[in-house]
Amino acid sequence: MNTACLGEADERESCVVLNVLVKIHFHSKGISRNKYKVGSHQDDKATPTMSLRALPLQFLNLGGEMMYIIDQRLRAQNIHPGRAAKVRNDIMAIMLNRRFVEELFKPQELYSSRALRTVFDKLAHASIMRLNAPSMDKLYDLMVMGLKQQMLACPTPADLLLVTLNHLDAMVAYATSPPVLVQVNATLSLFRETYEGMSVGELSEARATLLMFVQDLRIRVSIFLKHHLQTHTGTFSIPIVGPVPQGCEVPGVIRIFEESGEVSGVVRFPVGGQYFPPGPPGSLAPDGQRNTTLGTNMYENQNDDAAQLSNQTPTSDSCSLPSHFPGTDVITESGPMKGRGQDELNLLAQLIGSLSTTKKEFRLNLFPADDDTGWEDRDDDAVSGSHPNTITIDGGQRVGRPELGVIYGELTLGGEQEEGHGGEDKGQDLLDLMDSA
Amino acid sequence: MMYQREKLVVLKSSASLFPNNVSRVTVNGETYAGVVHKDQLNIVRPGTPEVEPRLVEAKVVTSTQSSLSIMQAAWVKVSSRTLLVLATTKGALFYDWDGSVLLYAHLLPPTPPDAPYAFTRGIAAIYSGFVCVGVHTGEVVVVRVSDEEVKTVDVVKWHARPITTLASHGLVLVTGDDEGHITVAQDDQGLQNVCCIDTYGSPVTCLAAWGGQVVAAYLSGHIRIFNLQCGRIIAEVCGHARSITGLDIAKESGLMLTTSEDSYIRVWQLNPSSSDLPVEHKYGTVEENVALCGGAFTDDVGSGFFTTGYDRRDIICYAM
Repeated sequence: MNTACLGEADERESCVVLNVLVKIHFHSKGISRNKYKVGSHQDDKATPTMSLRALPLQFLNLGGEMMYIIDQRLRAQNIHPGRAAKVRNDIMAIMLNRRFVEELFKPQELYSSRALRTVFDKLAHASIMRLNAPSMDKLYDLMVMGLKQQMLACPTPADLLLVTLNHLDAMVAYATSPPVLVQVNATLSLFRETYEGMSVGELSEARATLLMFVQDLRIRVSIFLKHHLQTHTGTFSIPIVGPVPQGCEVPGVIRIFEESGEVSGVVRFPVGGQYFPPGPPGSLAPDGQRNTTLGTNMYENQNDDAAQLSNQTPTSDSCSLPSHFPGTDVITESGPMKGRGQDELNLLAQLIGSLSTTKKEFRLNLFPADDDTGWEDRDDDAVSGSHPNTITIDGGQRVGRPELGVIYGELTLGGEQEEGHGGEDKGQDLLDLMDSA
Repeated sequence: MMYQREKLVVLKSSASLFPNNVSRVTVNGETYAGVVHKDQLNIVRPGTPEVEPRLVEAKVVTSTQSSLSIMQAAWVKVSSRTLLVLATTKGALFYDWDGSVLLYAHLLPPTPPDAPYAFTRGIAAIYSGFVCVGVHTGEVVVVRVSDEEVKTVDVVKWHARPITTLASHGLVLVTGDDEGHITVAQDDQGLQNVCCIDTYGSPVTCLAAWGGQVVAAYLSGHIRIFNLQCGRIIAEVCGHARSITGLDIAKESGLMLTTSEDSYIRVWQLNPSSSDLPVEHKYGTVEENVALCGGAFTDDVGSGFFTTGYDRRDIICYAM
C-alpha cells in the first residue's frame, strides 16, 4: 500500500465515523419521539428539556472533559508525542466536524443518555487509540460527573458560557493540525454567534436543562474528593465562603427607602457564611480572561499515579504533525452485545475495511489499577473477545472495498440538514438501512 | 433557635433544580408538600411520613412527541375548589387536588422550529374565580374555574419576556419576567393594570403579595419590597449569595421564608405598617451542600416549614 491510498482511506473512514455520528444524532431524535411508550428503558428516555439551546453546551463541555482525560492518559503512558497528537487531532476532527456542529447548534432537545454515550464511544475510537469497554465506561462517568460539577458550581447562568469557552480554548491548544484548528475556530464563532447575546433567563433555562440531564448521578470521583469538591456521599460541595457572583451583593444588609426613593436607613443582620464582593467579570472575547477555573483542566498538577488521573498543560505539547497513520481497523462482534450498540457495530463491521498494522495501533489503558471503585483492569492483553462486554478489535488485511463508496453515498447527509426536527423521516430511512445490515 | 430541624420525609424521585419547586396545600386539616422531578410531581404528607409518597406524571399527547417537563406545580384554592396546576413545557394542566383526575388542559400552540424554548410557568389564583398561568411569550393565560367547568377565557400580555412567576392576594395579580420587570394588576371587571415595577437588572425568581405590599426575590439574591398600589420601593435586602429559589409568606403572622441555591434558609418578619423596619431578619440556617430549590411554611402562622434541594429524594422539615 502506498501513502496516497492510506490518505484516501483515512478520509473515507473519518467520513464513515462522522456519518455514524450523524445517524445516531437523528436516531436519537427518533427515540425522543417514543419516550412515553410503556416499558421504554430509562436509558432510552430523552431528558425532559426546558431549553432547546442546551445541546451544544452539553456536547462541547463533555467533549472538552474527554479531551482532558484522554490527553492526560496519553502523556502518563508515554505514548509517542506524535501519535498522541494524532489521537487528539483525529478525535477533534470528528467531534467538531463542520456539518455535525451546524446540526448541533440548531434549537433541539438534548441527546438521551444512550445516544450521547454512543456518540462519545465512537469519538473515543475515532483514531488509532483502542479502549476497552470498562475504560470507556469510566471515561464517560468522569466526563459526565465533570459536567455536573461545573454546571452546579456556576454561580450565575452566564458562567455556563465561560465554562464552555475554557473547554474550547483548551481545544484550540490541542489542535496542532491546521485543518482541525480551522474547525475549532469555526465552532468558536458559531458558539459566540449563538450565545453571546443570550439573556440570563435563557441561560438559566439551559443550566436547569443540563442539571436535569445529570440529575441523580452520584459517582464519586477521586479528584473531586481530593479537592473537597465532592463529599463522601457523592454530593457536590456548596461553599459558604467566597466571593459573591457578578450582579450580587454580599448578604447581610437591609436598606430602607423613604418616599423620595432615598435610603433612609441601613440595618445589618447576621449572615452565617463569609462572603465578599465579586471578583473581576469573565470575558467572552477571543483573548479575554475567563476568570473562572470551571471548565479548565481539572487533571492538572496531579501525581502521575495509577489511582489518579493526572495531566499536564496542553500548551506544552509542541509536537509537529505526524505522518499518516492508518485509520481504525476492523471491529468484529464478540460476545452477547445487546441493544443499539450492536447495530452500530454491525454497520461499522460492514463498512470499514480491515487493517494489517497491529504494530502501528496501540491500546490505551485509561485506568490501570483503580482502587477507588474496586474496578480492576488487570487483563490488558485480554481484549480477546472472551469477555462478554469486550469488543474485539482485530487487525486483519486491509483491502479496498468497492461497496464502501456506494454505502457512503447512501449515507451522505444531503437534505437532512434542513432542520433538526425534520430529520425524523430521514432518521427512519437510516435506521432501516442499519437494520438491514 | 427559632426553628429546629425535625425530620426528613422521603420522596419517590429527586427534586429538580429550578425556583418555586416546593409547594404546599392544606386539605381537610392535613398538609401536603409537592416537589417536581422532571415530568413528575411527588406529593407527600409530612405529618404522616410513613405513608407512601404519591407520584403524578404529567402526560400530554400531541402530534410532535417531544419530551415534557414540569416548570412549576402549585395548588390553588379558587371558587371553593382546590385544584392542582402543573405548568409544563407543553401547556398548563389542571387536576383535582390529588392529581388523580385531569380536568382541563390549556395547551400551547406548536413551537416554530427555531424557537429557543416554549413553556408555561407561574401559577396564581385570584379571588374572583380565575387561575392565571404565565407563558414564555410574556402572556398570562386566564382560566375561569367554576363548579361545573375549568376553561380558558382570556390571555393578557403585559410583558415582553417570558413569565417566571405569578403571585396573588385577593383580587390582585402580580406577574414577573426573566428580565426582572413586575406588573401589578387587579380584577375590576377584567384584569386591569395597576402599576409596573422596573427591573433591577436580574430576573425575578419568586413573588408574593401581602399586607399591601409586593415582595420580589431575584436571581441576584436580593429581596425587594414594594408598595402594591404605586410600585414604590420600600426596602431592599441583600439576602442571599446566589439565586433565591423559594419565597413564602405566612399570611396570618407575616413571617416570610426564603431559600436559595446558596444553601441557606432564612425567615424574616414583615412589618407593613412600620416605616422604620418594614422587614427584619429573624432566623437563618444552612443545609450543608444543598442547592435549595424552594420552601414553604407548613401553615398560615409559620410554625414550621419544609424545603429540599437538587438531587435530594426527601423533604427536610423544620418546626418551631
